[in-house]
Amino acid sequence: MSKKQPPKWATKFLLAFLKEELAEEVLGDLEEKFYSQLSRYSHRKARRNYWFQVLHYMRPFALKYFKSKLIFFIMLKQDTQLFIRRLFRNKADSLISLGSITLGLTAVLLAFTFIWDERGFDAFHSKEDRIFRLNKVLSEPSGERSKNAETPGQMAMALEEDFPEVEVATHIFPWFDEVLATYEEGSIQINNWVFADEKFFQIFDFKVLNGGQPTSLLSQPGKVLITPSIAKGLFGDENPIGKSFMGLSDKMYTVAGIIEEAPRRSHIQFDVITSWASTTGDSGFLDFSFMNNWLGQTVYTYALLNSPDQMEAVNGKLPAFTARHMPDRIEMYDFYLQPLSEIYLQSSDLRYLRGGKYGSAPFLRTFSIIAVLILLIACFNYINITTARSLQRAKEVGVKKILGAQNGSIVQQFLTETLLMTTLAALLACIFAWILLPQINLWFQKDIPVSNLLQPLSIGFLVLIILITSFISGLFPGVLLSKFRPISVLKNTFRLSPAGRMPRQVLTTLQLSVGIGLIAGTLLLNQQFRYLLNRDLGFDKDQVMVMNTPPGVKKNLAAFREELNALAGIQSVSICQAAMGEGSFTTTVIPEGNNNEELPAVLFRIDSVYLQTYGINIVEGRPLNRTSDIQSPGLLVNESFLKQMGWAKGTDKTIQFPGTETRFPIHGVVKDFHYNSLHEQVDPIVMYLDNRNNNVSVRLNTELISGLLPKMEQLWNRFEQRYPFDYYFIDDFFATRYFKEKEMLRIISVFAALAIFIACLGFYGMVAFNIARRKKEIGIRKVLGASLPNVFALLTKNFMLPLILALLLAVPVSLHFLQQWLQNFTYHVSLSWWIFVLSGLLMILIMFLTVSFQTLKAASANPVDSLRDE
Amino acid sequence: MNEMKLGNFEETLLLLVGILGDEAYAFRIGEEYEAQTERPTSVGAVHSTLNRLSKKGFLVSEMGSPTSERGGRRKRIYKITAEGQRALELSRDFKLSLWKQFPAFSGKKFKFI
Repeated sequence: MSKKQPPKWATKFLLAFLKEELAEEVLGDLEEKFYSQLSRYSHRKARRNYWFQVLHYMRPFALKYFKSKLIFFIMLKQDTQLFIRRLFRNKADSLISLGSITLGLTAVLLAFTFIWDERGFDAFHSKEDRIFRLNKVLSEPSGERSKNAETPGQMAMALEEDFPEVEVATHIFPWFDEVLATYEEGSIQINNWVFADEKFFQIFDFKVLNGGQPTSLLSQPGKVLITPSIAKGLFGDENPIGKSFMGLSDKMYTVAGIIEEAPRRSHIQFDVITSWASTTGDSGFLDFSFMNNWLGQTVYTYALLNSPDQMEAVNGKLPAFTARHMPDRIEMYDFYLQPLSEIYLQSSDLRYLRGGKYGSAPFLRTFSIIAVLILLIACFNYINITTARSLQRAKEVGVKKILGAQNGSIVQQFLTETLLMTTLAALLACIFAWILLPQINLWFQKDIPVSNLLQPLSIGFLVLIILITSFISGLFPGVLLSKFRPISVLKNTFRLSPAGRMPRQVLTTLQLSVGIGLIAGTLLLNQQFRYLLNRDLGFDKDQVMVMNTPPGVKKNLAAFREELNALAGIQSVSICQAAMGEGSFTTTVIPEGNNNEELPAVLFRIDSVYLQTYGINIVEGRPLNRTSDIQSPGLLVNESFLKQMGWAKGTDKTIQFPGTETRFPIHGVVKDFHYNSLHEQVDPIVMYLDNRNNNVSVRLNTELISGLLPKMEQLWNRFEQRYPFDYYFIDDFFATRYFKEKEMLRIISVFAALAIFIACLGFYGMVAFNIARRKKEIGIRKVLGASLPNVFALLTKNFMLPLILALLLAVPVSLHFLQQWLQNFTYHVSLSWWIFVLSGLLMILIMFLTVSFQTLKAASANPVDSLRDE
Repeated sequence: MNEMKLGNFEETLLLLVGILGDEAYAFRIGEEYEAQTERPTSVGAVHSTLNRLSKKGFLVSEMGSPTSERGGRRKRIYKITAEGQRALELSRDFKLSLWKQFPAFSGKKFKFI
């Protein structure tokens, strides 16, 4: 016979699954088949055919294991049935274990969906990995360093010219605030008014729906692209292309095309994109030189590199670039590239970001940690209750074993039960998450679609949790119980070893410490938030409202001021450029005796009643006088300015502005006040009288604001036809500054409450279990004279050791984390010991409330009831 | 009786078992099937069907004596039982009765439209 033989591996494989009694005939048949093939076809084809024949033997009748598989399914059916019966028999038990794991999974599913959504922003751009934003580190002479993304308008062009690595560079400019757009009779407010040039579309994948080639649309002044919703709001059903409307600075803008709304997960957001050519001044349209020179720091610059790994190379050459183009700022500015993928999450340390969407990596991290903690608590709980209950089922296992059950099928039973339970919980969790998602969206100010809950990733995640939890909680008791000798179980000589309790004690301890940590975190966050809201800002923030000055009012400013002042309930009216929260801006000044060096300072252009309106106090010198200080101008500075310069006194010094020769005397020093938020230090401030009139600040002296507002609106409407009456209150403005903290406070509170609730469910279940197990013991003790407190102590002392250990564990760990978290705030409360004492006490209280009801009931029960039947 | 019903493949195999006589073992039946019907099949599929027919009681089988071929391995030889024969007859009669019920097929003027 030739050497050509059937493939060995195929034969091995066949024998692996084939029933032994069939091996002889099948091998014979297949060999014959092989040689019959070989006589007709090539060796290779015969081998392939042999494999084919082998695979075709994978049929139920020929499979070795098929018989035992059948048993598996029968047992599965039986186990399922038993599970359902048990579920309904022990309703309280089932509710507790099902409830806790369902709550936990719901929270985790929601958190997972949220976290997944926060990551992967801006990933939809096809050149995503090659896009970078130019940020800078700003070092001030005081040594303070901060980051921002503001760059000069010349930057993009210079980058393209100077760096061979830069393929294209562009810049965008989101306008500072809302813009009113008017077409015929109707007006709408535009939140994201953005300037961009034609290169914007070479870098980013935003889609122009119609109007022509995106690259040519933005080349002329006065041209805009608008989103469909703006088109609908402004023009209704008319074709918007070619139509003109009045927008920013009361100019007429022509719609060149429609642009698709920016995707939900894009950090760049826009409603209207205006051609950059409108701003250059030579077109005679808008003259925004601050957007087009090397001085103004307001523009966001993006660069498309030839390859992503050139980032370091470009970063390395940027200092030389700065020296070439901005030689006088080389000490202050340190530019660097930030990859697009990091912009959304890693920008919370950047100051002054306008427009667009931003997340916060520290917040996300905190949130993830809490979610994991919840998951742990819920799983621990479930494992705890399940194992405790299962170990009581020794008798059932004993009977089963006597009837011929093998160890494998006992383990299988426990695994089936836990798997069914967790799967049921997961299904319920999906339903709850689906119901709760809109609420979560509201809290986080997000718009995650419901379909995101069930993407493959989160389903996989759920399945993983289910498998791990069920495996731990089913395998442990299953294996333990299947090892017992049935005879000792049935003769009642069987005892559970105390070692079986160890893991449960450990889990309880961990649960308690997580609970204590979360309570402490919530308390601290609450304290910090209150501190931020109520801290003295350095001025009187209550009852001050601010309006932007519209064109109609500007025309008759004096009359408007007079009539406003005449209204009852209005104490003072300040009309100038500066308000709180807007109108002030950072520039540089040259203080006396500073070697002609510039000092960055925030400029407040005010009027003579500004200080009075805001309740800002003068600590030295005098306020500015309307008549004399306009003719020969003088300045005010704040205390920080003195501190920065190391001056003891301010009123004998002068300040010079860069590019001018005049030295202005300082007339007074104002007390430091926070004009933005408590996150930031108070920068040096320079104030002077100026006629600019962008903002109207009004101090009210009445509680009856609801009566006053309609009168103010009437007055406004008499002066202004185009813009609607719009205002904000300063205290509201400061409250919104703390949105992130408020959001965090709410989420941590809810999640902490949830975690503690789940833990309580666990304790409740454990106590109920303990009581049921020791019913007779309690009865006997009572008969022998034990008092109610005795019994109470007996039942609760199990929790004492875990509680003490939990306190010892929780305090140092949470101390570390909370201290780290507080560092995020420039002004923060100090971490005090009472927080931990209080959270420990609260935890004890909550725990005792949970267990005492049942315990008291058991302790005061009539012993006869538990002892009567034997 | 449902148990007496034969599928098309089953019926063909049953007939082949009858035709092949002492040579009726899985590989040989499969070869014959392929040769006669010109349709491909696998030894496994044939074996599985033979197994099913045996369970229904239409076939009996026993191991033949070892030969020098196929490495000395024995073959499983199948034989039709009386039951199997009856199932075949029923199947044939059923089809014949169908043919008879349709005059155009039974008469000589057999014509397709």
